[in-house]
Amino acid sequence: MADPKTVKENQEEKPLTAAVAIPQPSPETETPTAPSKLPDLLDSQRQYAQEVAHLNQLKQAIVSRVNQTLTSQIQSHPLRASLTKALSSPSTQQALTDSIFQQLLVSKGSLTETTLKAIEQAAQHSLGAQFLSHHLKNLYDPLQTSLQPLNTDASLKPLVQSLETGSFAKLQTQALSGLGIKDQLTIALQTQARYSQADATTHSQKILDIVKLHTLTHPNLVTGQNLKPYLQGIFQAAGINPVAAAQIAYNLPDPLAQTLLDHANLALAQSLTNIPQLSTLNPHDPTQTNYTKNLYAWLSRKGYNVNTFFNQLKTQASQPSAQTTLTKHQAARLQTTSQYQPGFNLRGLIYRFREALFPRQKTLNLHDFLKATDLIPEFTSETETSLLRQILASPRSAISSWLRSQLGNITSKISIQSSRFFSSLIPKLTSFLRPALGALTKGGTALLGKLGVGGGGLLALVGAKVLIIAAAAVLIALAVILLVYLIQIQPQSAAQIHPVGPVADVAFTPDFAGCTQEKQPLDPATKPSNPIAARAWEITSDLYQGFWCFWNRSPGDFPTDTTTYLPNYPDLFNENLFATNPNPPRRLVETSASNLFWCTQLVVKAYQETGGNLPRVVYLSSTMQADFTAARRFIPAANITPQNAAIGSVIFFRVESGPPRTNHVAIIANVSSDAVVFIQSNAPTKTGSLSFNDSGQGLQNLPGIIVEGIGLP
Amino acid sequence: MKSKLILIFSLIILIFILILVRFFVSKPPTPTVKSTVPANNAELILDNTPLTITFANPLSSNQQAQTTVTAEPSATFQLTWPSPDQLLVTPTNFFTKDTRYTITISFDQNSIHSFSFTTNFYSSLELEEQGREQIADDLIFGQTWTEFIKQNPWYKSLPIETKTYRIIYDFEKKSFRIRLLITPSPTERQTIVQQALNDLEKIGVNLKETSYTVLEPTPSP
Repeated sequence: MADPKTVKENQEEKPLTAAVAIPQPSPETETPTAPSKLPDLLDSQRQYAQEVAHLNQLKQAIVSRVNQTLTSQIQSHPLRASLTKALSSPSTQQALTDSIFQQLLVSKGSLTETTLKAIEQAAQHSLGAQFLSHHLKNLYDPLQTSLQPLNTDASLKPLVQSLETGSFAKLQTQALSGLGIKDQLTIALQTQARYSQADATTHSQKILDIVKLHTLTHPNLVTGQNLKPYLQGIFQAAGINPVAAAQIAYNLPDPLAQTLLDHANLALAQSLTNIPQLSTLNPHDPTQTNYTKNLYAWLSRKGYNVNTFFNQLKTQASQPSAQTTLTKHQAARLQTTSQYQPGFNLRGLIYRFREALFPRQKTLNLHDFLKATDLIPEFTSETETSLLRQILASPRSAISSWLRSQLGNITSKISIQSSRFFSSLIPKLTSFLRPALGALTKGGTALLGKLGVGGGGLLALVGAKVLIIAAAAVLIALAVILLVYLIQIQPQSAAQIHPVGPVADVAFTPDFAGCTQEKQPLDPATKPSNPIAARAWEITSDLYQGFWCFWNRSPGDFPTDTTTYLPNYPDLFNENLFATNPNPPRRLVETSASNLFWCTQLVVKAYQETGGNLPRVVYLSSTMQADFTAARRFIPAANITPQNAAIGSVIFFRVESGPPRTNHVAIIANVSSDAVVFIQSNAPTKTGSLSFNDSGQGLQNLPGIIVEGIGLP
Repeated sequence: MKSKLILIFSLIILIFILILVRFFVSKPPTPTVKSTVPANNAELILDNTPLTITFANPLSSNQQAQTTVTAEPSATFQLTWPSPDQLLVTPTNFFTKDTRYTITISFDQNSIHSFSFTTNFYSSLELEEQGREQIADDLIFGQTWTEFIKQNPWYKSLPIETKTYRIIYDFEKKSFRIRLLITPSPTERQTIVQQALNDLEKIGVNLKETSYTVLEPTPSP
C-alpha cells in the first residue's frame, strides 16, 4: 500500500520544470521586437507549458503509487515471475502509465468508482496479455485503494484545480491522441509479430488506413442506416473493378475481417511471403507455424490476392470521400465505445476518435466533425451551434448528459419513430386543416355576404377578411398546442411499440472466482464411446475460457495454448476484442459470428466431423430444433426416458427470461436411469446434468432454464 | 531429277516424323485426380467452401495451365495451386444455396474427373446472421446459468456416482435422490446412505435444510 507521504516527498524531489515535456518558449521569442499580439500568445504558451508540467507532476505521483502497489502485490503473487517480467517491460510500463493517466485526465482527477474501474480495464488492456488479465484483477483491488487518497491529497489538489481552467482541452486532446487505434494496433502487432518487430510500425500505419474503412463495415453500429451504398460509392469513385469491388464488399463483413487484430494478421501475412520462409524464421515454434499456416490457408480459402486486396483497401481509405463518410460515423461509434469504456465521457471520446483517425488533419476541427454528422437527423445546424456552445462553456456533466441524449438518439428506434411520425404528421395536418379552413372561409364569406346586403359590399369584404385571418390564427394556435402535446407523448407511445429487450446491453460481470487460464477437465472424465459425443467431449476438453469466463475459446490463438484433439478452431475467436475487454457488452460481441465458439458450433462440428446425420448446417438453436422436428427426430422433454435418450443427441434449452424461443444447445454424453449428463460450449460450465422424473419419464427443468427436448442423432 | 525427288520425299518424311514426335512426345501426360474435398455426393456444403483437388502426381506448370474446372450449374472460379499436386478452386461468387453442383475437371479440354455435392440449405450470410443471434442467446443462457449456479453451487458436482449409489437432485420435489445401485443388506444400506450424505456435505449441501429420498436399484437403460 502506498503512503500519501511518499507521494508528497516524490513531488518535492522533482521540481515542476523537470517533468515538462513540451518545449518552453525560447528567450528569443520574448524580445521586445515581437508583434503586439505576441505577448498574449507567449503568456498562453507559458500557461500551457505550466499546465503540462502540472499534469506531469500528477502523473509522476500516480506512477509512483501504482508501481509501489503493484510491486508489493507481485511479490506474493503465484505468478510473480510472469507478472514481473510483463510489468518491467518499458513499453508495458509506458502503456500502463498512459492508460491510468488518461483515465485520470478525462475524469479531471476525480477518482470515482467508475473511474477506478475504467483504470483497471485500461490497465488490463494496456498490458495486452489476456494471460494476465484475470490474475491482475486481484492486484487492482489494492491498487484502487491506494489511489483513493489522491482525491484528498492536499498537495495534488491545486494541480488538479489548475487543470480545470486554461487550455485544458488542448492538453486533453494531446493526451488522448497518444492512445488511439494506432497504438493499440502497434501493441497487437508487436505481440503477434515478435520476429518481425521492425515491420510493426510500418504495418500499424497501413492498418490504420484499413481501420478507417473498417468503420464502414459495422452496419450494426448505425441502426437503420444502410452503409453499403457508401461503400460501393467509394469503390466506384476509386475505379475499382466491379467484380473485385463486389468481392471486397461481400467479404468485408466477414468475421475475420472485422477485428483490428484480424487486420493485423492480414498485414502480417502480407509482409511474410510464404510458409516455408516462416518456418525458417522460427523452426522451433510449431504454434506460430501452425498459426501462420491457418492464416495462410484462410487467405487462400478466401481467394484473396493479398497484395491486391491490401492495396485496394488502402486506396479506398485514402479517398477524400471515404474520409468524410468515416467522420460521419464516428458519432455512432462513440456510443458503442462508451459501452465498454465507461470511464470516458463522450466529449473525451469525440477528441479521442478525431485525433486517432485524423491526427494530422488540421482542417478537421471539432466543429467540422460535428457538422459532418449530417446523416443524423437530430444534428441540425442549430443543434451543432448549441452543442459547440455547451461544449466550450458548460460544466462537463451537463455536456455529457446532453451529448448522451443527442447521441443516444442515433440508434434509438423511438427517435426514428418520432421522425417518421412527424414527417408524416405535417402533410396530414395540412390536409386536415385545409377543408376546415375552407369551410370557415366559405361560412364567413357567406355570413358577411348576407351582412353586406345591408351594409355595403366594401364593408362586407373587409369584415370577411378580418374574420378569415382570425379563424386562421385560432386554427394555427390549436395546431401548435396539438403538436406540443404530441411531442410530449410521442416518446412514450413509441417506447411501448418497441419495448426494451429482455437483456439489457450492458457488460456482464462473470464470476471471477471461477475463472482460470487452464483448460478444465471434463466430468465425465472418460470419453464417451459414441462418436458424436466423443468428438464433442474432445472439442470441449480443449476449450479455454474466453469472453465472460465462458468456455468459448478454441486453442491456437495464443503461444501458450495447447491443442490435444485436432482440429482446433482458432478462427472462431476475437483475440483483440478479448484483450481489450474480456467482459464486453453483448452488442460488441454479436457484431460477428466469429468472435467466439458458440454453442451450436459444438453440435455442427461434432456431427459433421464424425459423419453424424445433421438435418442441415444451421447455427440458430431454435432453427436447429425445427429441423430435427421436421426430420421426425425430436422428442419433447416430457416424453424423454432413459431408454430413448440416445447419447449424442442434441438437447435444446429455453431460458425463461430470454427471447421466447430455444436459446441454447448441448450434446448428451451420458444417460443413466436418473439423469443425463450433457456437454456444452459457450457457457459457464463445460458440462451439466438434468434429472429424470422419478417415474422415469420426462426430463426436469432447471430453475429459469426449460428443457425443450432432444434431437436424436 | 530422281535424286531431287528422293531428297524432296525424304524431307517430307522427315517433317512428318518431326510432327509425329512433337505430337506424341512433347504432349504432357494426362493427370489423374486422387481425391477431392468435398467428396463425391457430399451434402450440406457451405456456399463459400473452396474445393480442393488433389492429383496423384505433381503437375508441371505446363500441365497446370491446361487444367480447367467447370461447374453445372455454372459457376466461376479462381484457381490457385498451393502445391504442384493440389488445386484450390475458390468460387468467385459463391455457390447457390441448396443446389446440387457437378464439378468437372478437364485437362487439355478433355474431362478427367467429375464429382458432385449439394450446398447447404442456408447461405453463409444467413449462417453468419444465425451465429450472431445465437451468440446473443448464449449470453442470456450463460447469465441465467451463472445465477443458477450461484444459488445451487453443489449442482456442478452432480450427479455423484459410485459403485453403490448415485445422487441427483429432483428439482420438482426439491430433494436429493439417492439411488442405490446394488441391493444391500439392512446394515450395508445404512452405511451406503451415510456415505452418500457425507458426499453431499462435501459438495456444500446443508443437510439440515435439505431433504432426500433413497430409491431402490433400477435396471440401467
